Amino acid sequence: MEVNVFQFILIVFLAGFRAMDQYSTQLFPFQHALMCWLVGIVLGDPNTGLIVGGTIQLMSMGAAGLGGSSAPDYGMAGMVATVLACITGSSDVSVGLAVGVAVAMLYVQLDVIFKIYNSWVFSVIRKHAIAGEYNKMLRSFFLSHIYLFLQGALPMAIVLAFGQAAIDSVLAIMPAWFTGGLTIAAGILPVTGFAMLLTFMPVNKFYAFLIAGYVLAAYLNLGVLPIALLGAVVAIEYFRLKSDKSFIAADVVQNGGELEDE
Amino acid sequence: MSNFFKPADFKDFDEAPVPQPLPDGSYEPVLTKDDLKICSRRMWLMDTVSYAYATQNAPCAAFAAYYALRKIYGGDKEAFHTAMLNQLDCVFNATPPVSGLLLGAGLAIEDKGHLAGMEAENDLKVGLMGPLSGIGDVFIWILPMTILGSIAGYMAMEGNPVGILLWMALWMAILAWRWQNYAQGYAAGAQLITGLADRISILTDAASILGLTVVGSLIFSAVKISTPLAFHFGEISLGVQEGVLDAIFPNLLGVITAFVVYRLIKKGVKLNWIILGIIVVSCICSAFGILA
Repeated sequence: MEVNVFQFILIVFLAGFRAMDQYSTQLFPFQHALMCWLVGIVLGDPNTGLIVGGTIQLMSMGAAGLGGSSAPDYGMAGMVATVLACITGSSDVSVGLAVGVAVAMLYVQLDVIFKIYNSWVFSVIRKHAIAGEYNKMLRSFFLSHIYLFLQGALPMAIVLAFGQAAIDSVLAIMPAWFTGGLTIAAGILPVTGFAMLLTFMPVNKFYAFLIAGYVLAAYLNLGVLPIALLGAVVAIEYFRLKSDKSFIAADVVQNGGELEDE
Repeated sequence: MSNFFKPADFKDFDEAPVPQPLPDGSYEPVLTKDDLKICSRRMWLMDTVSYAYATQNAPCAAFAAYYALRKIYGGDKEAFHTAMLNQLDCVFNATPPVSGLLLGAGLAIEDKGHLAGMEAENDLKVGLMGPLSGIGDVFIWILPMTILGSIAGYMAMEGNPVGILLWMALWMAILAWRWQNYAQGYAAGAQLITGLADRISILTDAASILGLTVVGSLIFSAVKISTPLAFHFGEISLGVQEGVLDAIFPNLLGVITAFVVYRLIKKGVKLNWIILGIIVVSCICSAFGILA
């Protein structure tokens, strides 16, 4: 499939905007599925965008780069994967995904470079602040925004310009066991997202609810929305019961033990 | 737009009056709710974009507070200069969407005490940024990403964008709250965050229940892994997947994989190596027909 000028500009802008948005305005932070869907819509294949985006979204869960740590950039990965899947026009999204994952890993390094670049931006900001040039100081902050926009936009322009030719030549020399392996890996990789997330959550305390969710999906064949609602039911009741108890406990302490046990 | 990021009644140094101390050495607070909302929106514009290893997210907080400080110090250019550099240099790092609660509380101190209150403000910021991030990371990132992200991701894999739209809508509600949180922090002061931390653990637990239920269901449905291997007994053949594995537990391989990867991450193995490992193992299994 040929990418026309209009699509080219739109997707490059979207890639730049997303990279900037994730660290600054956060209108759509970490909503990779959304971004892939939008790329799919622009390229006339929303369904491929949704499938790639969904897979990347599940992989990315738990990788938010909290506390200033560097995390793989799954957003960029998803957009590159969507573009490649759409322009090669094949129903198999695994090759696009594999390239996308490689991109995500490379971007961990770029994140470190960005933070070093920011040290320079900070020195500029501080220099203007000391000189009392406050308007210049305020403007210098946006050097970071510009850098991030370019970090997203430029690689995307390269992918759009050469992606199809590159993928075609790679596909031509790739052995069957490798493409087959990538297809299998695409099915397994979402597990990394769940596992990462679980490390943040109180699994030891509430592991029973993992089993509950598994049973609801595996044996009762419920969709993810009804399962989330059932989980919400338990969560709401848990919160109500627990906060009632703590209210009573606080009351006892406040009344200095006047309240006798029944 | 000018009222969105910059106060409408902004006065330059030569127009604004020089603030006069009250008899007890403090000052009449000047910041209004609108001024604080502007801080919130300026913080949103920055979020964590200026994050550098030296002072972490302090520059973003300084950018957010700029017009508030200008108003506090009015015509006193020298005092403003000191306060501005203090904002730039006081190391700060908290979950940006909720930072406003703490930074607003800090501004409340500075609004009353001016330069004399600066040290208390810095102590407050550095002292509470950890606890605030603990709350913020869970409620702004981990829970929405688990619950909304996994619903959006899973539905998208099925070709359905409804989950994505749901996430967008709920995130917009968080943004709307965020655009005024300096005002909340300013009004409530430091006790808000300390008080919040006590009550919030029950809420975190409740939300974890919801999150774990969803993750449990997705380990079954979103991890796709199966084997075409089969046992042959003369005429009869028994597929390993449907005959053995599914009979024990549906998607047993997926559950085992999830457990193994979880243990590896807990052990401190880097995520990139795990991803690479999954790809290598997949290729080997593909070559020998163990998985399909």
